[in-house]
Amino acid sequence: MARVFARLKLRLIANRLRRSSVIQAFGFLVSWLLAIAVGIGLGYAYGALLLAVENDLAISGTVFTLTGLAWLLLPVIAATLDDTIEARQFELLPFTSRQLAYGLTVAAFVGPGASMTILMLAIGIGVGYGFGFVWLLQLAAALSGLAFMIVASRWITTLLTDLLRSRRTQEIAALTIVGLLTLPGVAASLLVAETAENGGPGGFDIEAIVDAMEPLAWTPPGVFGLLVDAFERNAWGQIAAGMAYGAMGLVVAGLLFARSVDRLQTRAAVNRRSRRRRGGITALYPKRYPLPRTPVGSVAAKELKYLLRDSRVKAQLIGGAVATVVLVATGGAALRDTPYAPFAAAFIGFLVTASVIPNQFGFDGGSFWAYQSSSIRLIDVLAGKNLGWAAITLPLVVLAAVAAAVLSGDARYLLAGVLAGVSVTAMFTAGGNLTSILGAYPLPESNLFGSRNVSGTALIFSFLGLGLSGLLIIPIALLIGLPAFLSGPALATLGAVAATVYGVGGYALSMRWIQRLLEARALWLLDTIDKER
Amino acid sequence: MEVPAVSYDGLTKRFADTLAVDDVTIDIPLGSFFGIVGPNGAGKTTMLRMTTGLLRPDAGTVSIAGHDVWEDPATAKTRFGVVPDNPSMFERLTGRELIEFNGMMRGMDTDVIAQRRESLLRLLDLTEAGDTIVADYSLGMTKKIAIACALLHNPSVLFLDEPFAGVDPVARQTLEQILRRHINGGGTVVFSDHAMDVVERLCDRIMVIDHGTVLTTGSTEEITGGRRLQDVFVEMVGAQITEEGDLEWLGSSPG
Repeated sequence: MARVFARLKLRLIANRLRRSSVIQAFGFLVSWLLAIAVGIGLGYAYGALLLAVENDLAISGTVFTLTGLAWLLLPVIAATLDDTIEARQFELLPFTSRQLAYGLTVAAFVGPGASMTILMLAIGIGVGYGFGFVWLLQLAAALSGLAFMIVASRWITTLLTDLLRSRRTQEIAALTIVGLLTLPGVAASLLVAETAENGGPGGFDIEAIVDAMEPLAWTPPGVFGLLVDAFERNAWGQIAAGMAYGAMGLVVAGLLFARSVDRLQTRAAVNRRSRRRRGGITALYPKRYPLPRTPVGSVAAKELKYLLRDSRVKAQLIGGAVATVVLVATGGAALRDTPYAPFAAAFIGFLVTASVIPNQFGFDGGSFWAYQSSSIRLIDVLAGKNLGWAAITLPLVVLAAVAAAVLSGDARYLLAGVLAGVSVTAMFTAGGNLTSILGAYPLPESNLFGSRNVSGTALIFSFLGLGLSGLLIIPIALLIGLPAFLSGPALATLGAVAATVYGVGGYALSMRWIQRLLEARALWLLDTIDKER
Repeated sequence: MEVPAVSYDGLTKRFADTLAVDDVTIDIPLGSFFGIVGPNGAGKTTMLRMTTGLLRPDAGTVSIAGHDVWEDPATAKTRFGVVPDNPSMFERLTGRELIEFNGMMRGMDTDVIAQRRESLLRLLDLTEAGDTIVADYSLGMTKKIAIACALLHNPSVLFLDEPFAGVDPVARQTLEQILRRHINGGGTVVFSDHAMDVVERLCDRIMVIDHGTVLTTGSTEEITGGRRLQDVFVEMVGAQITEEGDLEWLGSSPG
């Protein structure tokens, strides 16, 4: 059975390549190569850390824990590079849930995620501990760890697919994930604050940070790192304990996965609609929002209506706000009154704003629908979507500006922060619009758990869009950052005004360019989007 | 005593405040062509999903050829084939590959799979389209490939949820022939549909369901009593008559 599942996965990947256009196949292959390159790079980094730091147990435990966390979270919040085989596709076949859980786990080993992890662990262990017979034992432990990570990851995604059929649970899950993502930031801030004190002014005690991470070797994925280290030290007591613990973790995760598969296949979604929503807004033109009664206003209203219902957007808004407050509260004490403060504030502001803006990649399936159903001009569809997203981003921009003021201890950074947020939003939006028109790929729409099967090509274009936007905002950072560093808030505010002119002007120019592009490419664009929808 | 093809005993399902299927107890004899009819939201799909192991009932049991679907779903699923209204398939496989993987997943011998696959493709007029990816199929072709997958393991009972919806007349004719051939070979067909003429022409037994309750069941002749099934059905479930003036605006000048 394992062979059939693996063959099925390979066949699906091969067919995707066979059916792709040259550029899509190129994007897909580049994604795989990128994954392999990242795996090799991370492997050498892991090995280098083992060589550089004394506490190998803590390093291996942390690497395995973080890898496990990545396996848990990435399939939920990000697009994967290939077709994921889902339990529901087998619901008519005579499998027990345990057989199916086993088959799905085997299939998950065939893919860029697993290749990347295997490369990373094999190289890291070899470089750090040395290649030889023990390396083979360590590799076996690492592969068992990967099996655990895959089973746990598939359990979580299956559980979420089951639970997330109701909007309320989607929101709770999305917030939980944001909370989990904030944790490393909080932990890092606390560690930096703690070790900065121990290491003296301006210095960080790396060995102290590593030692503080040693308990991670006893998390369920971390214990496989402990095994890797114990094989090197011939610590047979730890090997026995680690193997028992790891095996137990694998079995428990497997049983939970099988149970989730069974529930997903045999339980219907019950989505209670609230009384408030029954008979909700049906008119296309905006009633609830202070938006112009124009085609642009109507698209913006539609966008706002959808976005405010969307679990991911809600989670990002709330999570962004919570993360900002938490990061300012935890890291603020260590950084205040140091030269790093304005940069830390800018970084937090950038993180918070940028976490929301890249979701807006101009033209997408929703735009196609608006164009098709109401004959609104494509350029107006795009402007309306931008307006809706800008309205969503505004509260976070203000919050990031407040964070900048708090961290720097100077209220004058509030205005500079708001202006910086506006200019960054405008430039990010311009970059996203251009990418979506030039690339014409349906990039992940605002659906947290619906974007798991986005093709590698779309992912590449997402990165290109992010890269382009990143380049476009460099002048903003320079216009505000340099005056802040050289002179202080007064000059930074002037720089922020200039940055706003640059950002908003750049957006306006990009829209003029896009209008010309649309005249030539509208039909191709619609055809491409429609095919992929 | 002959084991019925399908046996329901007190089958019940509730969604929040809605009773979707209410205490259904009925046997479907072997070799019958059984039609389930009812208005939208009557509980037909819910019933078929509970029958085929896709939705766990709140109460009651379902047996296929003597095997309890919820006690031993893996064994029961070897005895039947299903064509759901919206089948979840591997659309990036070709038609040929889809059938092949279905057979392999069922543990069938590869030679048997190849032989049956080609005869099913030929019968369903999909030989040429066999190497096309399923995502590129029309609705009718998708239904036909789903039927091929459902028939591959030669099940004793075939369940179909609205198999003729969106299918052109030629494909419909082919599907009807295949279903009749399955019956003639000793199999049983259970299907739900809104097309009363099709149900009346094909089925020898009918069940009318509304709001989860079985209104009547029996042979087609008993239920229709010489009248059209359409008229009997509308009389049973009640028809909503549009009030004069309700849609006065429809067809007038746009605005």
